[in-house]
Amino acid sequence: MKKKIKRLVSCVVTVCLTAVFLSALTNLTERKASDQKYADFFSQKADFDVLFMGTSHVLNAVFPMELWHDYGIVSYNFGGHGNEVATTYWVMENALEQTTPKVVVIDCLAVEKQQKSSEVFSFLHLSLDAFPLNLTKIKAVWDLLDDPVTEQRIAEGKAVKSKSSEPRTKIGLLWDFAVYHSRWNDLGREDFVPAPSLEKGAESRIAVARGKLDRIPRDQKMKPGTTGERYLRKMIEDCQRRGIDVILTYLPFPAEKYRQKTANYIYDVAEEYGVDYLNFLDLDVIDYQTDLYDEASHLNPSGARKITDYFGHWLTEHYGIPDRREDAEYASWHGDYDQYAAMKNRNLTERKDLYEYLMLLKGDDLEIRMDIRNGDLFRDEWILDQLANLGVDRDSLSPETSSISIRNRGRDVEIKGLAESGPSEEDGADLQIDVWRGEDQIDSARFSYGYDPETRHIAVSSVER
Amino acid sequence: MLFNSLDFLIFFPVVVLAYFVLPVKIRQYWLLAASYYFYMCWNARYALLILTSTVITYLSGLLIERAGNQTARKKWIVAGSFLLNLGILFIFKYLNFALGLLARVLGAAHITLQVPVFDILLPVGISFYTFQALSYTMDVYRGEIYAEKNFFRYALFVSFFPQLVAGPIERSKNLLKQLAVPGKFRFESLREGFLLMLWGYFLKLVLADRIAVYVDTVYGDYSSWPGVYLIVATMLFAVQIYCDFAGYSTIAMGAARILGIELMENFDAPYLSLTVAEFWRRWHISLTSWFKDYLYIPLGGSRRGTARKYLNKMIVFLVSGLWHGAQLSFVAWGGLNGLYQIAGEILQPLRDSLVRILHLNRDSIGHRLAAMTGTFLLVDFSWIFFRASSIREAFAMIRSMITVRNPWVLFDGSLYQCGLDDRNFRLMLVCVLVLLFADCCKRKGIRIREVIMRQDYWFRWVFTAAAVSAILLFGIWGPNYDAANFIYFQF
Repeated sequence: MKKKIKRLVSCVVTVCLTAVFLSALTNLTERKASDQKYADFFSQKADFDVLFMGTSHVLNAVFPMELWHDYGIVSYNFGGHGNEVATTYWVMENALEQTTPKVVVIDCLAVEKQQKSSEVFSFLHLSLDAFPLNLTKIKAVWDLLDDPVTEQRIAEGKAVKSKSSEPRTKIGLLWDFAVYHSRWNDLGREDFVPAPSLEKGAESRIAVARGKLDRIPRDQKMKPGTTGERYLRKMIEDCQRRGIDVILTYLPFPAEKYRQKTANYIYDVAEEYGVDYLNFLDLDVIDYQTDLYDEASHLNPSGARKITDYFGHWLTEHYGIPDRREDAEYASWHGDYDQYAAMKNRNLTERKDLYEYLMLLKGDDLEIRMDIRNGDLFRDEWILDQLANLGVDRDSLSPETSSISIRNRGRDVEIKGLAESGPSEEDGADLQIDVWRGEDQIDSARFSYGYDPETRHIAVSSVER
Repeated sequence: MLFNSLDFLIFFPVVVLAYFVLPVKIRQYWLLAASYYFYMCWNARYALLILTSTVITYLSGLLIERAGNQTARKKWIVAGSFLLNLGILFIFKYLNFALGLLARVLGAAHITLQVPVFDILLPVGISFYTFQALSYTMDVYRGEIYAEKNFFRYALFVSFFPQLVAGPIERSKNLLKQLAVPGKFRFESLREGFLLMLWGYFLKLVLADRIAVYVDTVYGDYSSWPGVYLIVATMLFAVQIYCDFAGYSTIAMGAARILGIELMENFDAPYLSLTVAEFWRRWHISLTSWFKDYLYIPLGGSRRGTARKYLNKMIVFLVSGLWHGAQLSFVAWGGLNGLYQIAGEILQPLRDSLVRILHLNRDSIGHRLAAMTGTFLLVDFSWIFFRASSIREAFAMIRSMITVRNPWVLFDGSLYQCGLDDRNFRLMLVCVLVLLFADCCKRKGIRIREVIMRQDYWFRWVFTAAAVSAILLFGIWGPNYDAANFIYFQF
């Protein structure tokens, strides 16, 4: 008997030890993108007040750290690349296992679609990998891979091309070591030293593009009964059952007609459930000349800060979301913001593109001084758009303008001509921009440029710091 | 169901657990059901073929025994059993090949023949279980065993799942006897079987499938990877096929050992052989001994003169080549190995004279290393015909190896462009050294499993956990892994 017990113990210890080793290897080898995105979410003990759910539109459009800094709102961004509504539903269900928010904001992009999950399987990994293995995750994987529409598109070669050849398997999502163990030869510093996202799930995309929204009449609507709608309803109903307020939203971008029909249809859904619907296609919040990252869809930080600010007002005024900035439970968020601000500083100081540079100055607590020695700057309409975005009155600008000072997020603007600012240094650059965050000067960039009459844009030849 | 699939990792523990929980009387029925389920995971309809083969050989056994001393009648029964079983094997494995060959021969004589191509899916492991079943008929005929009366036990002998699809080709003398007395659960068997399976998985997942990435890249487009690339691929293929097949056999042995059944050893450090003849005594032992017992000896073996002996050897190797696949390149591979053996015997006196004249010491390390290397090179050369998809392709590769001079690819990192990056390549080489070490230990009579088991309990725990983790970490498996069949399944 004693021998049998010894052997049983031997087996149990070996199994446990193997589990410990494999768990360590799983953590070490897994692709860190999902962990980085969710690390701050899992590390926080106290509840979040607001969760933002949806696609990459949300990911790029709402900055929780700005909500914290400006409104004291504690939120997390769960937007994911290529998330279909069903995927968003399961991300929400997994997130609600960890926290109970007061409000869930749901992005309604793709409600018209029949797919449950992205054709790019790595996007599904990004959205789900970090969640711990539990019954909800197992249900999620089983449901999301029961997706004949996506399977058929892949089989017919209609799917979005992906670099990854990973087959869509349940084991790959439930135990990602099955996929990532082959990364043993690709481990780097970031695999050993975790580097969580500094943006609480959000993702700044730094580029500037221009687009145009041709809004269709409100009575043109999508056909109901899609898979996306089914899961949207499940999300709303589940939140209401749990006593969580829901805000539906449709984020701004140059939406195609079929997408606008979806945005129009959501008014009916919102009314049916008695929830708020913020359709930014109908709200004049962003500037399509300055706030887009790419022509087709996403917002850059300038646009995102406007959307974030709008949500901040709305959540505070309509839902009474408390200001947690003095709350000891959330004291670590101050340090998080400092790191986030340092990241923003880095983003700015690394820029060489003048359009991107001006875009990043929007909506941030910065003091900006521009010294202009080459009036060609004002011949570029897009530059004028960017300056207007910062709060500068375009009509006040002329080739004689030599200095622009901007404070208080564009509320205080001072423009000087050559006569007022005095003679400039002979060897100075065409444009010098000095930027302060509080007392600290974070950048002093000197741009040299010329005007290209063909493109009618400024061509920057050099940037010095 | 592959041994390296998730399905098997669920299937096997369930089978083992139920096997030892169930009453002894019904254990063999459980194993039989599990074995048929295992096979039917590939193609349920082809289970009928095993059943047919089982019924034929089972009845032939009973009839042979009933025939008593009527030798002629017994011979007819044996012939009938062989004819029917080999007939099934022929239809499913060789029909299209034979018809194609016929058309080519007639074509050479300017006779056009419209050859129908039958869409026949090769039943997995058909050559293995057919040979195993036939060995039973022969053993009963020779009076080496009594005919098995219990049909279900006999059916289990033919279909026993660990060795059903890729061997070892067991003998009725060994396996039937063990199946008749289901063993009790023994912790030692569990431990040893588990360690055997671990070693098998190491050979298959870490070595064979890693090497396959390189070999498949080069052999798949050999005109783009000429000269040294091909030479390296051919050297590595020798290791790949060894690890692939020995890996399967070892997992089979381990799985059977856990169930309390000892299967025969199928490989015995073959690449450490000093002659090609020795290599064949240590490579795929169950098949080689099958051919020896049921083909070479019935043909007269070495009893009918030297010329007949050489002819018999040649026949055995040509048939062995054909057994491996319905392709002329396999026949060429078999023929080449037959020639090696015959040439080896013919040249034996000459070699002995040289050793005597030059005062060479055959027991010296240098001589043994040279003999080992020479044997490896000869065997490896024959693998070219085995791996190439046709004889023409094999000759094209050989030409490329001889004529294209690009030795610098060994040093400038070019080898790492053939599917395995530098780190994977180096890991592969380290693992080959581990294999070499293990084979050397085997030759020295050191059983590594026993050495491990003699260690303190804490070391065994850590070793086992680390070994499982390392195999899973470095193995080629998972969703990104295109679940490669074990090479020998096709035979």
